[in-house]
Amino acid sequence: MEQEHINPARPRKVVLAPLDPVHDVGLKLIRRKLVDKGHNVTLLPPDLSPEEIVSRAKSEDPDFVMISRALSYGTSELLARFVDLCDAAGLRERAKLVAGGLSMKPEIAQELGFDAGFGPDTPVEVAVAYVEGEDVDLSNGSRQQTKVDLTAGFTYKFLDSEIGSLCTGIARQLICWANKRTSPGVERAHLRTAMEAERGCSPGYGQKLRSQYASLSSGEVKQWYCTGKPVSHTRPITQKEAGEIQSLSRKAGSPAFPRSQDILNDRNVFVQYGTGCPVMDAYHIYLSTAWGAKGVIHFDPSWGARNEGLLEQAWSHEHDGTVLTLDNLGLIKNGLIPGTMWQVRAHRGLNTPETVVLAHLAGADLTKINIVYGSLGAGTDPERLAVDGVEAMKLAARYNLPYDVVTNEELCGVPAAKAFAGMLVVVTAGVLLGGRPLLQPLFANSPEGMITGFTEHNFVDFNVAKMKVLFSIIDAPIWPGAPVGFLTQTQDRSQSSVMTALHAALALDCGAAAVTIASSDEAYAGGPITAPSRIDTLKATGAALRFFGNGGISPTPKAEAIAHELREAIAAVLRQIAARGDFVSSLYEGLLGDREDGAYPGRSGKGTVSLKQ
Amino acid sequence: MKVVGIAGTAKNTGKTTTLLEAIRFFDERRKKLFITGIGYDGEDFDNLTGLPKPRVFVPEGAVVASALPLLQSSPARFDDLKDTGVRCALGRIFLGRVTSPGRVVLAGPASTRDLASVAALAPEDSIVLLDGAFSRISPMVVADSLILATGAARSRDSHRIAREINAIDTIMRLPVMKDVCTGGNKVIGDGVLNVSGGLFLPGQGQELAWRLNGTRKPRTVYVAGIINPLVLLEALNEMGLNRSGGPGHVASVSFIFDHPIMLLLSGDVLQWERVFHILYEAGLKTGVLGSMALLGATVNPYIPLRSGAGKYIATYVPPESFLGDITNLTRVPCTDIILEGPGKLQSWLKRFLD
Repeated sequence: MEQEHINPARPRKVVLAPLDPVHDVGLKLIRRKLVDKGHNVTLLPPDLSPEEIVSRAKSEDPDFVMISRALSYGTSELLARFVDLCDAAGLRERAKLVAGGLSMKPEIAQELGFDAGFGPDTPVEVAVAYVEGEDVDLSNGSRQQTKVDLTAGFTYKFLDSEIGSLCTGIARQLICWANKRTSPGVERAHLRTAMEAERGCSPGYGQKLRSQYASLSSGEVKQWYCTGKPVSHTRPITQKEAGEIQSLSRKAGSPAFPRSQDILNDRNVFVQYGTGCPVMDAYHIYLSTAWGAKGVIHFDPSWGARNEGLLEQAWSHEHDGTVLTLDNLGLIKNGLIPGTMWQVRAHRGLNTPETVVLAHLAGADLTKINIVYGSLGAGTDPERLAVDGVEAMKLAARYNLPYDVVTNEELCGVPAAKAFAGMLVVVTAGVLLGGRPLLQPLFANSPEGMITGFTEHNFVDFNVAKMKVLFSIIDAPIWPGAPVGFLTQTQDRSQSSVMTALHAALALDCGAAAVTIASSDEAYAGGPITAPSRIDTLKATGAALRFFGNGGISPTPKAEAIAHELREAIAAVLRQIAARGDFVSSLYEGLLGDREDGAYPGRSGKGTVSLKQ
Repeated sequence: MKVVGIAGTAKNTGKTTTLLEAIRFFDERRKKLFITGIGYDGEDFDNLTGLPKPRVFVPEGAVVASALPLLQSSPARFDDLKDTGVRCALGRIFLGRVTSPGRVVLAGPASTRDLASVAALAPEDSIVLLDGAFSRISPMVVADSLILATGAARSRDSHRIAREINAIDTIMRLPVMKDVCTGGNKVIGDGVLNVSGGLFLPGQGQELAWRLNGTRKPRTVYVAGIINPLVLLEALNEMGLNRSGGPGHVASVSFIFDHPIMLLLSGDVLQWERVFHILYEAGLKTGVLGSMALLGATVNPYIPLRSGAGKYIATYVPPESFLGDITNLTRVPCTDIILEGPGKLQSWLKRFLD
């Protein structure tokens, strides 16, 4: 029977029957919800035989017969017999049969012959919606993946005039300084644009561009362009592997969204991927999206940040991080469920502007640009990353590609005040260049939290204080990360899931536009990240959101005090930088984090910046 | 159009293996195949035990009716996708003609009504193969012929299995009452007692006996719907037929049932042995309005055995002795396809085609 033919306006007649002698709580809950909505509900007593239920249901002439039964191998035959009895007794001429209970899922309901099956994770509203004739897709969940603009509604106006004024002045100086300079990274970004435009059009011209590109590259990447020798620990993707992603993309139209994860539908939860193998990535992305991730973040190998230049073609990488090439990105994009948001990170190394180009060409929705973290915590020369970062922000603005600005230098031990000062300057520069940046404070148990005692009694106050202070300074989207819960997770998957979930719930409760979570084995994995560990944290996040619901999370008064302290410290750092009159020198000189803090100006790309002719 | 159903007496009794051999048999003879199932079949691992399952492969040219998402994610390729207008727990059921053979998961119509409307879409000159699920048999009323899949997952007791097969066979062989006049789900005629809604609740047998012993003295009892053998026994006891001969006029009453399958849905099928014995001893006629042929029974020695919380392991009873015992004790042709190969099954299907 066509579910759509049901008139939702008409009260439905529903018979609820526990085939289980004791467990009828679920049915009582459904009864309350259905009665509240004006439906005519009869709840039969427990411990009736299937024949008695059929007989009593028949006398009611219902639209729906809903059965509850905890499922096991033995009891499944009982349910199958019940379905047969209903069928032969003519109940199915009119009524739909629904089964619910432990272990129930749509596939088992189908095998048993029910019209629908709801497991213990199914929200009761779904059962009610089914009764009311909504076209509930029982196998796939109800989630429609739709992209959202995380920056929508934000004005980027400074609410703290002193900090706003300081940031604007420093950012203008940075842009002015960078505008006069160039680097191999900037040059390659322009070359890559030209090369991709020429791809397949004029081989001769393309070859010339590739030679130029090779001359601007270094290390094994340069070697590959010159000799064709693959970079260590990489191999080309085979046709079969590419076909595997194509096959997955065919399934991508009908992913099995578990209904229990519907709670994440309106939350922008992001996960990172980067197993090294685009095929495996595609599967991880597929699973993560099905389990509630709104977006995914491309994680490239660490050597990709240290070598000048990016490879071409599709590659598999033996270690963590998936090689950043347009072909690899194209393969991965093929496997994305439509509506999945996709971030390609460009933040920390020698290929920052070119990565923004690739992100744009591949159709990514977001990128990631950071001058300070890349310079002080990720090994790239500050001068070089300042030039490349500004260029990357210009490109992102041109492509209308939002990006986050992360403060992961906090992980090295840099105090939040210094990290936030750097982030705010970069964000300001981004806005001045016409872009749409998002603030990405570290939302974790940072070294500073441990050392100062901010996180001694709870992990709430310090993180809430960070959100409070940033929201009080600028009207901009905040996307805590990256990922949340760093240094609170252990090798224990349960513990890691709980910590991740609580951080995510707290961040969203604080008004975060999005949140990035780790897998449960990500922080301390001794090997590749496993797919189940991704589901762990997504499930846990869903459970945490359900737990807090609209109850909210209250920090102690200390949060306010920390926020105040932070604000003053941020302003003090900015005043120092403004007084220094040179943002890049401030990076070298430790104003945004010094050796004592655990920050070291990087050396990759040192001496490669030149003045524009 | 000819319809053959593969019905199990329990889960894991070998329906999928039987289906695969049946598909191969008809495909080799270039028959137009229309394949659907009343449950969910062809998945990698069993949804309840987690143990590996036989996969379902569909040949080029066959028409498959299954939930659309499963057709779309199948390695087999389909064209002419058509919406049947029927929905199951996994989505809309579509028909698709196989253009590139491959694996498929079958999830078809679950009810008799939906199965009939989907099967009606099969081309007139096709063979319709209905794949069963669990011990469900009610929708198989749509089939002309039936293959029974049974085995150790139903019971390790080969004697019990043989008795069940014999009881089902006896029911399938009940004479078809061609001469009775029916209308509006009733048998029309003088002296007919029409019992609507079946007889499957305790007390209904006693009530039937009272009506038979009432003043109208019906000569024919037509029971529309499900019959539980114990309820009929209750009636026979109340009528005194459980004692030798029984009193008065009831010795000439005929019992008519809808369809043999209505006798298989409620209660223990072995109880029918007693019922038929009493009816036979009393000389009472019994018949059905609809019929189907039981082609044979496939016997599977496989048992998924629970070995800890939520875990199962595959175990087997000794296949030769299990099959041998059953074969010796039943008049119905039986085979273990894995042990004996598909020869016997093929001979039944040839008979079906003839």
